[in-house]
Amino acid sequence: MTIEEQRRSPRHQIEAPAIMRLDGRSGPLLVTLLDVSATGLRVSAPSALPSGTRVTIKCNGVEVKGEIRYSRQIDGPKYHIGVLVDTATEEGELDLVALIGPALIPAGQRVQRRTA
Amino acid sequence: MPVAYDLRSRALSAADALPVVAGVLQKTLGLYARHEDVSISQLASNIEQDVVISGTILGIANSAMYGGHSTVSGIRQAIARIGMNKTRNVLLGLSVTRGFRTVKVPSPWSLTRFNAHSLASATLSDLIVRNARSADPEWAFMAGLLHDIGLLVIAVGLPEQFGTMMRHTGGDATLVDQELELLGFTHFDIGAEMIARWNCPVPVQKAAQICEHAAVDLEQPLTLGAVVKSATTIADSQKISNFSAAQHQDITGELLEALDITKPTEFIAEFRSDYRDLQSSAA
Repeated sequence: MTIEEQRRSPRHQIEAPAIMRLDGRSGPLLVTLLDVSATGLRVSAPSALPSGTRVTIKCNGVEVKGEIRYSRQIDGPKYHIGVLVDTATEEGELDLVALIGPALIPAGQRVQRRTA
Repeated sequence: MPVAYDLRSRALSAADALPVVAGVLQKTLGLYARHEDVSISQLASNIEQDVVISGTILGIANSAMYGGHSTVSGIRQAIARIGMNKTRNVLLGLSVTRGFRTVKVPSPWSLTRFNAHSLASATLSDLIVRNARSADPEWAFMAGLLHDIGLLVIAVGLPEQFGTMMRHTGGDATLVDQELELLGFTHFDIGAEMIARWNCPVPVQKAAQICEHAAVDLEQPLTLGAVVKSATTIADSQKISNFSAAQHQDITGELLEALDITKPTEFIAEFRSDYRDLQSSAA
């Protein structure tokens, strides 16, 4: 998927707790998933996190890996973190909305898993 | 349109509607004081004045979780069996939620739901500090019990705004955003102010404030705020939530793993047992 396609990918607003672990950091974070698109997530964080850091996020019985793309301060110790998720797997390309979303996103907005 | 300062003053004046809660807290705080040497006899004499609390303490002492081969029938024996910490928690939990019941809140919000979430969060906070390294563990139950007190303050003081917000929220994060937009402050913020006015310890005030954040660090030792935030998230996961329309995902397993709690099944079993005892007496 090109960067342009990623930008066009619709975002679905959600509110769900998740556990985020960062490479090179011992303690996990309890975060809130704020929105999800086919290839990425936006989550809350208690501090700025460096771009390029590899992360693992567990939510709704699903574990996804990805990379922090941006860290934006919203207010005081409130940050929003953008994560680009690794969607290419041995089984094909994952659609994050289809993977995480079924219980979180209204049925009419769901996107199906794509095949390679 | 009222400015944030006026709205805050109106909400805080609702504290006058919570005198029972304030009185109970003042009385019970002495039993929590770290350096005060409270004896079983002193604690027992407080409890024996209340039939419901006495019955609950005896019930817990004789439950499968604590019961030995013999049945205890006296409060002193029961306290010796379940311990001072648990006894104080039961006393505080039941006394405060009984105080909550005297407050009139706007429909369709449910005070039963609020009480249940508060008791569950308190029970889970206490369990977390007994299973993970954390700061200020002695205040965990109280912090869990009072973390949402600001909701009650806003419900009573600003019922119109409260009704509007609760109709359009699915959880704490969206509620906090709506509160900031509509009121200029959050229920966690005003709750922390109430807790301070009631002379509760600073860690309990800070824990309520930290719950405002949509993310917390779970590095151990945990802050008391991280403990309560984890507890309230698990309570929501267990469908014991303030939000009736919310779709709560069950993150209990992932969260207990992140807290390094090695026996999650036993943890949840103990929570359910403790919570059931408290909730049935508080209902």
